[in-house]
Amino acid sequence: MTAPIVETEALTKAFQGMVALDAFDFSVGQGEIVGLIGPNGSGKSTVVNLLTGVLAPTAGRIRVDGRDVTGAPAHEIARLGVARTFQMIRLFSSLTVEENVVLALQQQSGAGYVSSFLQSREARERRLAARAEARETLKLFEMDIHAEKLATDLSIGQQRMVELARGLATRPRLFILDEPAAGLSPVNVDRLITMIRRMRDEFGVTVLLVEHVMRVVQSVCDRVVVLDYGEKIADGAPNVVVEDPKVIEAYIGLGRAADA
Amino acid sequence: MALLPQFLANGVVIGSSYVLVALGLTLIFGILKIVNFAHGEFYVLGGYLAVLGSQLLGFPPLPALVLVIVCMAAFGWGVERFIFLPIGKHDPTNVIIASFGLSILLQNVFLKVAGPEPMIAKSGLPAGAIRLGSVFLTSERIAIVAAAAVTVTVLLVVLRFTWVGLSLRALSENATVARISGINVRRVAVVTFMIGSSLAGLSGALMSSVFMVQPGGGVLVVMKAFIVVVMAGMGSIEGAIVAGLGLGVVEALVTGYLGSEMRDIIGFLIVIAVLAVRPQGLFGLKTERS
Amino acid sequence: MRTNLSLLLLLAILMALVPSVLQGGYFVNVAIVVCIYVVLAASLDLVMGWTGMYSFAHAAFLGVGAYTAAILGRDLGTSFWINLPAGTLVAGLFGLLLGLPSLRAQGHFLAIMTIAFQTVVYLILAQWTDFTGGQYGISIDPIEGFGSLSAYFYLVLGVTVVALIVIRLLTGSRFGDALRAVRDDETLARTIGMNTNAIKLIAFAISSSLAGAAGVLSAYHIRGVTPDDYTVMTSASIVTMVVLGGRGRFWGPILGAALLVLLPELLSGLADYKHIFFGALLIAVIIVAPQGLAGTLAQRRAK
Ligand SMILES: Nc1ncnc2c1ncn2[C@@H]1O[C@H](COP(=O)(O)OP(=O)(O)OP(=O)(O)O)[C@@H](O)[C@H]1O
Ligand SMILES: [Mg+2]
Repeated sequence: MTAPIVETEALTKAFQGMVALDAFDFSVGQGEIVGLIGPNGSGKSTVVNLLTGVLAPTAGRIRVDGRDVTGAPAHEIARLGVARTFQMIRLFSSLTVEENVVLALQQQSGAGYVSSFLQSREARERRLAARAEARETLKLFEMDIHAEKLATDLSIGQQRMVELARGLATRPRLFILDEPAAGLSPVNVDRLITMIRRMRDEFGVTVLLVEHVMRVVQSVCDRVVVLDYGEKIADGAPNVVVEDPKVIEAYIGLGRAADA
Repeated sequence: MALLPQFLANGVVIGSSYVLVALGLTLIFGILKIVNFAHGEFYVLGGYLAVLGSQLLGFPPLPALVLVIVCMAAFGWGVERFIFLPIGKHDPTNVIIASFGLSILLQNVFLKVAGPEPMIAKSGLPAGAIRLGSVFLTSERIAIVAAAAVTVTVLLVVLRFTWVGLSLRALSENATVARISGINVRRVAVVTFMIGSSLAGLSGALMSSVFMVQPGGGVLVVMKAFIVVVMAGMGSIEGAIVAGLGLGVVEALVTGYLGSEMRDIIGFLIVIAVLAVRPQGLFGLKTERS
Repeated sequence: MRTNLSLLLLLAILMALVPSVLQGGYFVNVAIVVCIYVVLAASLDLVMGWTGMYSFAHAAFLGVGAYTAAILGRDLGTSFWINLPAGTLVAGLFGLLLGLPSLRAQGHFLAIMTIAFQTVVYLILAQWTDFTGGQYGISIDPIEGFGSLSAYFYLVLGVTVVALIVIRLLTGSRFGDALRAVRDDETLARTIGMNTNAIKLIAFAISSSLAGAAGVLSAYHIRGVTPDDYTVMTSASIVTMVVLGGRGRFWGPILGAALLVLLPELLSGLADYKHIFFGALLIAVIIVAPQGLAGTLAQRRAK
């Protein structure tokens, strides 16, 4: 395996004593597409929130590109090239679709705040460049026709595409997708599958995919990690993992779910 | 040290008024998810109504208190119906601004109607201090504690055994489930608001025979009630009782040993400190779900 | 952006005609007060409208600016030209102080904390008699060379225009985008790489320093400071101006401030009941048109 982009060591998160993630060891290699699956409430989104700095871990370590970022604020992790989408879609509601993407781009390549305040030529040029870039990326997701609309006026499926465009536009090193197929029509799920592949193959983006829709996981992931009650119960190739009795049990919910 | 029991007793008196105000605030928040910034002015209004009842109308203590409770319940109904209901819950920021507006409005109405001079209610109770061991208390002060104790007991019984109480608890625990199981959310909201504002008014009325009623007096009261609720943990009735009495005692000790000049400044600094250290208290755990 | 700034300059030129067209000190005095409240409302809107945070303590910064000027003048004999930047700076520092809790507390907590802060500042101004002069306050000598009322008015108008241009440029720049992002969704803002804590602190600092500048201007206008000018009632008036005019819009607070300063002047009966009226108005606007006048107009036009 190539050098990991992100790596965790005994990563643990407890909410008021309730352990949502327990000593999780995990890594995503450069250029991989890794799936993270598990039943509802198994801690998948918690992993995403920890990796992106939205939540601070209770214990354990996180490294991005070999650099220790445990407890680092979200914006610093983002600036290392980690982008994400949200299970419950998040877009800036008072901004248009294009502005949403431009804003994300500006964080990476915008002019300085002072230069922008003074309306320098450089600032204007960079903003124009960011707009062009945003249009370009929106086009990939066939969202350029909606660029001028308010983000919140779109359908759920379209909003998901805008979230993907927002992340991809910044050319992240690691793109974490939290259930991107939720609420998508089958046609759009197909498009999503194609787009995830293109992200890696054309744009060199490493992808961590949290997903319930097994069709997506099976068709794009190189490797799948399975969580159950905050513990890693499997890690391997998709076709191997789905055959794993522990995974099957977790999903069918014999045993522990019955007495939960 | 000799004065310690006296300070403690003073603290319990003030603390019982905090308990009543805080209970109103916490009930309203539990159901309507709003912090009513004008709650302190409700307290002051209760004080003015007591002055009106006892001084101008010459009511004896109990009828005067009944008058306060009835008026405050009606007032609470009106505020809920004509201000908070139309705003809706969509935008909590607007509720904050509107209740701030109500607080400002009421303070200035008091100033116009009652004037800037502080007023005091006549309790009609026998004058002079009563001695309990090494502690001297006026009959008004004893009455405050007794009345607060009775009110809190009645409230606890109501919350435990009546439909209002049951639906109230169901609602504050899980609004969706409560709604599905057929609880009339609107009605509970209105009743809660009426109870909450009666509690604030009652507290103000009780205190009005000991402390002056003045137009701007509510600001400090709502802050105190707010930190009591924060320290107690949101929606916790028992917690509010303990925290309210505790705050009263701490304050009485500060006043007793350090003097009263700094009391208000220290009071506000406590507000800032408590909120800065434990901001999530009132709302339970601030959850960040993705 | 261009049209807004041109319109602003046009308005300023019209305002500059006030002393020559409307004879008599009364109108000039009113015009000065309008300018001061325009700066106050527009600066509060940076925090309240653009960033979506609450501050019911804006009058505290007005007071900090005013008292800084008065105390410096009294103890060190410094001139207006030192006191104006000093008042601006000190108010900005106090703004940072109030900004700190905003990093942890939101919504109701922040709102109640700002009221507490406002009250503490008032109590200090009113009770620390040795330093602040207590209820009697401190008097201020007129500025050399600006002794006449109309000369002072031009000075105030100039500062107002500069403050508004700064606000317009700020909100139209990346900083304005950042403020809106924080207001819409702070978590999202952070995960796309924005240092939202820094943004919020800077917003508080800039907003309160402009209020401090307004404080210096008003102190020199009334030739002194007394604590009662800087109570929560003044804060409430500024909040009402912002909400009535329309939050998060350039013209909103300007419109709101102008209206609410002029209205009590026009309807003499109203002056007495000003704060009652403002409180009621605040509630009414929130119920009927929470976006304020500018917001409602913009919506009409969009349709
Ligand atoms: N902010 C929070 N506060 C308290 N508990 C939380 C919080 N976030 C998550 N939890 C709890 O942690 C556990 C794991 O939640 P998480 O959202 O990570 O699950 P998930 O695997 O993403 O589930 P789903 O498939 O439903 O999205 C759940 O029991 C959840 O209730
Ligand atoms: Mg999840």
